[in-house]
Amino acid sequence: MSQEQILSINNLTVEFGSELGTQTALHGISFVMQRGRTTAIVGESGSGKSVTAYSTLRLIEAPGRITAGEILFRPTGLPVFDILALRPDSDALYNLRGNQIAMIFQEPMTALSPVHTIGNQVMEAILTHRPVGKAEAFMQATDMLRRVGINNAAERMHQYPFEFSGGMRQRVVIAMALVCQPELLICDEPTTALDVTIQAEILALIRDLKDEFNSSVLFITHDLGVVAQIADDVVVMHQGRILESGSVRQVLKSPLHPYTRGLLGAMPGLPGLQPRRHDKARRLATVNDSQGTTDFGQHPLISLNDGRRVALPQAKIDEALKP
Amino acid sequence: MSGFILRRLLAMIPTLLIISVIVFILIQLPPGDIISATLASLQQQGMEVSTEQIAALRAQYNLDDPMVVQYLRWITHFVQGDLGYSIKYQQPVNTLIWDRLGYTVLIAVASLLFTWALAIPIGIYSAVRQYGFGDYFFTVVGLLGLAIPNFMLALILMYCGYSWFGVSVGGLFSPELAEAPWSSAKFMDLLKHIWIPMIVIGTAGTASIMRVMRANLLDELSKPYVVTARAKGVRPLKLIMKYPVRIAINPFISTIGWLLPTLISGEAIVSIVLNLPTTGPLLLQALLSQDMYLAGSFIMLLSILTVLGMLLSDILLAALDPRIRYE
Ligand SMILES: Nc1ncnc2c1ncn2[C@@H]1O[C@H](COP(=O)(O)OP(=O)(O)OP(=O)(O)O)[C@@H](O)[C@H]1O
Ligand SMILES: [Mg+2]
Repeated sequence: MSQEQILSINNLTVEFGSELGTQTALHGISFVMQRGRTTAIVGESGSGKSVTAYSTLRLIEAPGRITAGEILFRPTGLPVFDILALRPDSDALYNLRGNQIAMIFQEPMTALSPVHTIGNQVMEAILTHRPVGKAEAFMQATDMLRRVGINNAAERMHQYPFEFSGGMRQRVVIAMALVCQPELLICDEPTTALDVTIQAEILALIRDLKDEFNSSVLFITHDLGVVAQIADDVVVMHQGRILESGSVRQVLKSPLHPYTRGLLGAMPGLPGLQPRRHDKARRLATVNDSQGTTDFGQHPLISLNDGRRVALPQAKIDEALKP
Repeated sequence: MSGFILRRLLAMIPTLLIISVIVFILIQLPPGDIISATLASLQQQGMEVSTEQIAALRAQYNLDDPMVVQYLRWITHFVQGDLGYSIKYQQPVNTLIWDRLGYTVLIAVASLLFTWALAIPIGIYSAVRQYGFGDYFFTVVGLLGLAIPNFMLALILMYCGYSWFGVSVGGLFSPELAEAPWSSAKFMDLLKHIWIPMIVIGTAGTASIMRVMRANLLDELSKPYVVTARAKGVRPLKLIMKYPVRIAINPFISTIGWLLPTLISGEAIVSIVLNLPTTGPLLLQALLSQDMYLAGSFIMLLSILTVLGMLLSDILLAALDPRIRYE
């Protein structure tokens, strides 16, 4: 793993047990994240995006289990280590969570405790990881709230989540995630629950703060429009497998895999096949309409010369690459 | 907040007035009154009471006045702090009732604390180790506690207390100290006795509170805000206590007020078995002998406790949950 890579996921396999037997949520996925860049994971509901994110912080809980693989993490100036090899109660793991890697969640309405003040929750992140007193933590937290665009930050520290709008809460969650200046920020559909104008503001905020803090971002979404706005690299997932990965330009401009094409085709406003429906909520459900019920992704990923990877037989790749 | 409490206190007045009317009617409802009830038992023992004597008694206690007049007399005295006169005990209700009410509240509070101290940690443990050995073990023990009748447990504990610790059976005090004025020795004696009723009354609630705590906590454990805190790197023990437990415990604290009346009336059988100087046995006697002022004033006091308890619940809930406080 080179210096430029901050995260390298190899053969990550996650299973969920149930009375009906085990279900594999991730079938040994592998990808790398370049330092300082934003990598997007895109895929429809249930494709395993969140499971990937949760695995990175070892947040998978029973009945889920990480059964194989490694997640190599290389913080700046420190030796690389395998997150999956850390003991569950080790200091290294608790230092990882929230300090080296932080996470922003999909639902700002429920991601904050309803009975603790905003200040309490943001300060907790600092007090957990930094040897500072309450007064200092309060200052840092207030400062961070100001930087994510919350007015009257000092006053609002004493308020409760229900006194904030959805967009404002998501700003609080972002502040909470960034307050320890993590090297890697994982965003699990941070804008899905927000309306479109707020969505754009939050995306801009994440982009700006990423540059300011020199972080790398793993950005999960099911919205290719968002990918186009924020990401440098993209990983396309489907049913626990990676079908295609590469730079945003490569994947969105000239997708090789029929599934990616389908995704693009189902997207109004992006080049590709004609959109069939404009209903935003149903966007991804239309993939099957344009692609039939093809069984994607049983094929292993093949790396191309230009750094792309795609899960297709060589013949199909050649065919797709033909101008 | 103080405005809220004041409003609630004012709203209690009509509630209590209505309760007082219902209480009075209910007490008068069974056929006969204290005189005829006493008369019946006297006649059973073969005594003769002349009709003049009966009429004199009835007149003395104004039993022949219309109901409304009797009610008004009772309630006007009640609000002035005069709880009436117990015909059965031939004493003012005031001298009969307050000590007992005090001990009742004491036992109720002790039992409640006992229940919580036991049930809440176990509930937390069961939720965190769901389906583990401990979870099943405590479930079985809890259900046993629920299934064993209170009086039975009382008898067993009395036996244990006597044969192992030599504590005199039953009561709240040793006989030689029962009538003595308060002293540190008497207080120690109380501590030596109170644990039996505390455990007996407490175990009944333990099983259900344990299960409710477990269910509440399981609900909370999977909430997104818990995941958020985990992702922040908060350690497990702190995480569980600060977030899910804090929220799962709300319903208990906010229903303290409702528990008071059940704890007070629930101890009647136990008190009879354990011979405790509490309200339960006295209330039962008062109702059996239709001693209306005693019974009525008693029930009124319990009602006031209940209504105050509800107010207490609301205040606690508002203090605990900011979402309610600000509405
Ligand atoms: N708690 C769980 N219990 C059982 N199975 C689970 C659980 N969480 C995830 N899974 C399984 O993992 C698969 C992937 O879920 P995941 O949450 O990663 O999807 P996702 O791509 O994040 O979807 P979405 O866009 O809806 O968030 C699901 O299809 C499901 O089968
Ligand atoms: Mg998800």
